[in-house]
Amino acid sequence: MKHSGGLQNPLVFLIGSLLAIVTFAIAEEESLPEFSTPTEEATNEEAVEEKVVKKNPVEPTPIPEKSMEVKSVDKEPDGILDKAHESVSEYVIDVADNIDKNLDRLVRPEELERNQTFDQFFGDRSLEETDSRARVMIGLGLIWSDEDGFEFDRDISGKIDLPRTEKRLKFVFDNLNEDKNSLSAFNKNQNSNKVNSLENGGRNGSAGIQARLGEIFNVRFTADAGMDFKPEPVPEVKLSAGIPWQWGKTDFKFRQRVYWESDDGFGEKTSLEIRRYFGESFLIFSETAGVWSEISEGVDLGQTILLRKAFHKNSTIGLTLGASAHTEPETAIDAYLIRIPLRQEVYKEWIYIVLEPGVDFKDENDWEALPLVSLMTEFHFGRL
Amino acid sequence: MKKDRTTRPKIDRKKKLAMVCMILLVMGFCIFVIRSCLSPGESVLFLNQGHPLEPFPSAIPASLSFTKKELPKGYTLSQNQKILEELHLKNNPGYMSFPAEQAALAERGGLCSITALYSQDEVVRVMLNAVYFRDPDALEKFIEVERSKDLHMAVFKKVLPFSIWLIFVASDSEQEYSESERNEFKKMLTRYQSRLRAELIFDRLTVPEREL
Repeated sequence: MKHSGGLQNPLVFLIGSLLAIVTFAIAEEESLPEFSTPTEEATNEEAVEEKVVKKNPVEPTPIPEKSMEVKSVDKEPDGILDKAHESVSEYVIDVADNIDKNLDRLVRPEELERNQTFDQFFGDRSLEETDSRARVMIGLGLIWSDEDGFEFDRDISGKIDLPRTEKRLKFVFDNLNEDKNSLSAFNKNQNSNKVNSLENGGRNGSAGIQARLGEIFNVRFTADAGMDFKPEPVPEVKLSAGIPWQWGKTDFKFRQRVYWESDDGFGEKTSLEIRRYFGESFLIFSETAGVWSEISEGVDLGQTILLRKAFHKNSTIGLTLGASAHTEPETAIDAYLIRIPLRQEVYKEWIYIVLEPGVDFKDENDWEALPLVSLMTEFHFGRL
Repeated sequence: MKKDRTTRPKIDRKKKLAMVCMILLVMGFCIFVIRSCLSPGESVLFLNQGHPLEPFPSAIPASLSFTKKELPKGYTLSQNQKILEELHLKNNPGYMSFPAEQAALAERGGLCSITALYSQDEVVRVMLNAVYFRDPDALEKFIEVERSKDLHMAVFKKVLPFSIWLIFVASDSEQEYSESERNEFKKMLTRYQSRLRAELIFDRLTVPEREL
């Protein structure tokens, strides 16, 4: 057991903490005006147009000198940083679009293939949303723990909507390992702001294709096939069924998943999720889960409770409590975990900093308190 | 021996009545057979007291597309059979039965569409596409999505008593157009709008490339 690992490098931790404090201070000084979205502006313009038409319905509207098109409210890139972000984001959007097009070619029936000439003039009308979400998050940071000292930490996750194939397939570029972990929600920096609720996954990435199989008696079935990166690619397939229901303002979801991975073999996870929003800024989330797999000690049990409060635009503070247990050779608690995550927007909705101090109490360490702190900078690219 | 005159005429009347009924039945049957043998169009006319039930009147495509006077110089209706066949267009202008587009429109509330292709030097340079809507909410959603596309496109709305035509005029995103050509398009749209008395929703067809 290493108790002095982190203390050997106190200067690095001090610099990291100072950096976090300075960035929070800068972010507090910035004003964050509420811009109306392009859709809202468009709707407003249409409403104005509607009034004009009602006033004078007979005369045709004169063609204006300049375009009536509502320009995007996106700001022009200010400096090198913004330009770099813009070019990377465009690349992410292009890649997502190409994935979508290629997948669509594979699954679209021949008789429903689009005509390229027509689409060159009017675009693809099979798309109901042109602003589909395509975003990638890259997180770089450090974790210090009393047990292991300093460790470099990286996190890559993303969600890419596939508007052309959305009704049939979905591309998931996120952490699929949550289905093998009884405390999957524990590591998520869940944002209680509903407007920007990108949920970050764990530390290993996965990519796969998800097919929505259908819904029978309110049970939603999905099938996943993909690769788990550990970091070497490991193929995996998964079948899941979910039963969502609502009781008052509280959302419940019972989920049953069965998976097979070439490394770890078969496994299953059963969970009950309870989620309740209080207004737009406060969230309580609970997950009770049991995981059985060929590598687990009987059934791994986990209980997670998350509390999140949005205190600023795109900024949250929270408390995460977790407990894990196993059932073989005897039922016993393995660990109690506590985290206090603080997520703060630092720069123009695409750079965030996440500071997460915590303490672990583990059976293997004789229930000794093991403090840890993680500091991560998140960079978001794509259509934010 | 005297004939019984009290009963004979009575029997004759019955026979006559039966014969009349038979004739009427035969006539009715003949009419039914003749009607069944008529062509569908004539049958439709017959059933609907002379009013046509044809849902795609042949005059509408010509009314909604550009006239020769409205088009810029050098532009004519395209005769490129390959593209017309690809778009399942029997005539130019005509009703489009291209399955992918029909499916996309049906999902978004469009009931049918008319397309006209215009070429310059045998290259299709401008396309007109009119989509027919009955539901105003579906139409607004449709406009909202089309507005968000970065394409050189102008959109008109022609409101009818119970329905709406949404008319799109677009240039090819893969071809180049000079500024003077875009100005010609502006005149074309103005002439078209005055003839059709349509409402302009937005115009990005006449906007130069750099301002799109």
